[in-house]
Amino acid sequence: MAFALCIQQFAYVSDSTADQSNAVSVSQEFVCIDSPWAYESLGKTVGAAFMAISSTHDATDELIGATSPEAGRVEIHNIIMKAGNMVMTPVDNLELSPESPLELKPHGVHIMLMGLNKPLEADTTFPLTLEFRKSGMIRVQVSVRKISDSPPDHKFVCN
Amino acid sequence: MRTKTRNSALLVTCAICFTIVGYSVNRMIDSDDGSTMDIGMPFELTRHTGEPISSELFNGHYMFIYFGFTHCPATCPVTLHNMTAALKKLEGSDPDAAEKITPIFISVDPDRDTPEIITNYISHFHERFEGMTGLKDELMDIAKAYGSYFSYGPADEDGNYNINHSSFIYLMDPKGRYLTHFDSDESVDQILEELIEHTT
Repeated sequence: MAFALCIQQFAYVSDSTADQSNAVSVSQEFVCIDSPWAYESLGKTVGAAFMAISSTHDATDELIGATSPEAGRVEIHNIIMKAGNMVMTPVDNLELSPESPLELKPHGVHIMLMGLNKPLEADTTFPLTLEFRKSGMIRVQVSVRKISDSPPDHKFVCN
Repeated sequence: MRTKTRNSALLVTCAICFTIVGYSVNRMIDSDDGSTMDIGMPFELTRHTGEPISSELFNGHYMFIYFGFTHCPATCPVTLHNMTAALKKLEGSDPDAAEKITPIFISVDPDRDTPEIITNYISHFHERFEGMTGLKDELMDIAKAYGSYFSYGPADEDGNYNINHSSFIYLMDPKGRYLTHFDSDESVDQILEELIEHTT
C-alpha cells in the first residue's frame, strides 16, 4: 500500500512538471516528496527550495545532497543548537524515517541555491535532483511562487 | 505582555547563508529585577523613494518593523507576507485600527539594496509598506537598540555574500515606544491576535 502511495505521489509530482521529459525519476520507491517550491528571486541569483519528504512505514534513509543544472552551488542547510544558540549551517545529510519526516520550509531546514543561471521567475519550474543514500537520485520540478504568496501546506504523503 | 523565551529567538541567514546565531531580545527587554528596559531608538534613514526619513514621521502611528534584506530567499519573504496578511485581516475587522499601523522594512544591506530595489521589493507586499536603509554603522546601531543582530559574511567569487541576521518583527506604539515583538515564524493569526491586543 505504501509502495502504491509513493508511486501515486511521484506521478502527481510528474504531472505538475512543465516538461514531462524531465519528470521525476525514482531509483528507489520508499521516499515521497510533496510540493517542492521556491520563491521568485526578483532578479537575484540566489534562492531556496522547500518541500516535504517522507518515507514509507519500514524505510529509513538520508538526504545527502542536491544539485540543479540551474544553480552553481546547492547546499542542504539545517538548524542546530550551538553554544546555546540556534545555528543554521550547511550539513552533509539529514536523516529521514517514517517517524521523522523532513519538512523543508522558510524558517527551517531548506535547500539553498546559489549562483543561479538566471533569476527564478514566478509560475515557472526548475529541476532539482535530491540524492538519498539508499534511494539514490530523485528528480523533482520545483514550482516557483510569487514572493507575496503564502507557503503551501505540505503533506507527508508516505505517512 | 508575553514572555519571549531565549530559545524561541532565532537568527536566520539568507542569501548565501551559512550560520544562524540565536539571540535573545528577551535579554534586552527584561532586566534581572523584572523591570522593562528600553527597546528601539529614534532613527533617520533613507526612504525607498530616496529621500531622508525620520522615525518622527510615524508619530501617532504604530510602527510594525522588520529588519531584513532583499537577497534573503526564505525568511524575509515569508515574514513580510505574514505581516501583510495579518494587517489585511485587521483591515477586514477593524480598518481604523489597521490604518494606524505602518509596516516598515529596514534593509540591512545598503550595498545591494538601493532605494529602487527596495521600492520594487516592498511593492509585492502591503501597499503601505515603508522601505528604508542607511549607512551600515547607523543600521548596526538601530538594530542593536532593537535587540536585533546582523553581520556580513565574506563575498564569494561571484561577489555574493551572506548576512546573518535576527528575524524579529517589532511593534512600537504611537510614541515610538516598544510594545512587543514577534518571532518571524509566528503564524498570521498569532501576529493578528497581538496586533488586536495592542492596538485596538
